[in-house]
Amino acid sequence: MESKLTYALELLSPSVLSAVGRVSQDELKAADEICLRADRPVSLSIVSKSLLLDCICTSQDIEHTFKTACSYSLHSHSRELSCGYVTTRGGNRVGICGTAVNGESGVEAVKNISSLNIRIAREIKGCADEIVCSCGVSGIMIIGPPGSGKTTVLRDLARQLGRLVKISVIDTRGEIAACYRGVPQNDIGALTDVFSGYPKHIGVAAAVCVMSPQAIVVDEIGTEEDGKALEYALHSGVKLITAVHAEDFEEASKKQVIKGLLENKAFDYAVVLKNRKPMVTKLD
Amino acid sequence: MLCTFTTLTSLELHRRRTFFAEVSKNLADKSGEIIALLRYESADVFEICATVFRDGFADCDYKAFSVITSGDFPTLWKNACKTLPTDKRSAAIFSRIGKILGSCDSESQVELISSVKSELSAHAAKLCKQADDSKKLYTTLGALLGAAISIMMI
Repeated sequence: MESKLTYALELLSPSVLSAVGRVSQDELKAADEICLRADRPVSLSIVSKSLLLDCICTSQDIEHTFKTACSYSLHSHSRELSCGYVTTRGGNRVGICGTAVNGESGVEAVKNISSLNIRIAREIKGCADEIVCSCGVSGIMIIGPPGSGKTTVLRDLARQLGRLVKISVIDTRGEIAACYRGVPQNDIGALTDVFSGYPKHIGVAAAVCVMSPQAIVVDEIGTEEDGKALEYALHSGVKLITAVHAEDFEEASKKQVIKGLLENKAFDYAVVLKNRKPMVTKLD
Repeated sequence: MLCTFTTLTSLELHRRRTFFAEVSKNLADKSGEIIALLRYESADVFEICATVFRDGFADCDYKAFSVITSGDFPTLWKNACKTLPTDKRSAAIFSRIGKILGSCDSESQVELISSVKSELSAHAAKLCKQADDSKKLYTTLGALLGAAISIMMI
């Protein structure tokens, strides 16, 4: 965590860094986010509370952080920029807020950047212990609302199962492995391969073809294409471990893609995250 | 002896001109490598520096470029260009890449760097031709200068 914080601090301009340096070490270590807003004070998010610092952020400070986050290479991050974020060293994510530059394929870039939110990456090792003990290497569907910790659980599952069998992680948004220049910034297991930045359906098909994994980990499936790719993986003898946005199993099973996968008996277990606690149910 | 000294000095000056032309040509090649990395790997500016300038060329080790791993890229590139062992014109053309690289989409960068590459190639060819044309002149002038100084001393 400390090294991830150090990497986050490396993104800041000297004036902002000096203001952040005046914050107590305990508060700094507990910080989840550092937020820069043009012509407003720099703020730290510490366990859902905001701490305003005695430093007004200028547009130059924002430009410095933005360029550093992009490694002075807008072209290398064009896909991420169009989604509004950049994954940086240590797996930290810089969220970008500004004016959208729209093109034929939707938002192509962001200009006039007004705010940046540096989200300091967290790994909670051991949060999937119960799931690993109950389910082992099997088809697992993690269910939970946004912010319930689905991705954190998936990451820990990949880490633990990736020590036992070959796992392929389809990390479309760089949230699970958080690869920086091809190197996973999070501990995701010795036998785990990462398909970073791939659209889910292409990543799944590629993983099955080239890495012969025993299980595939993929975050938040939603489209029909994703479902078809997962069915293909399933019929190739690969176990599926995925996350779904839903309050409970009933809500998840109403989704068309999940419905199809359930009919194909893709999942052996459903894990519902309630208050960050996993509730494991064996599916028939 | 004086004649030999002035002739050797003159030849050294000529060798230096030839070396400048070779470095200039090599910079055009480096521009080509940058284009390839942009086009096929979408590499970031620091990866480009580490890859393209990993190997030196003759007495030119490109160290000022290969050590660019983080920081304000346009400034670092500009400073590195000042260390290039070539003529001012070649260094000035090559330094333009620092303003282009990483600042826009890949296609535009490739287009702009291609023009830098063409300009460098043309300039290198011109330098080579000038060096070849002036080889005899340098040798003759060196010997003549030596002889003139000897006569004056006598």
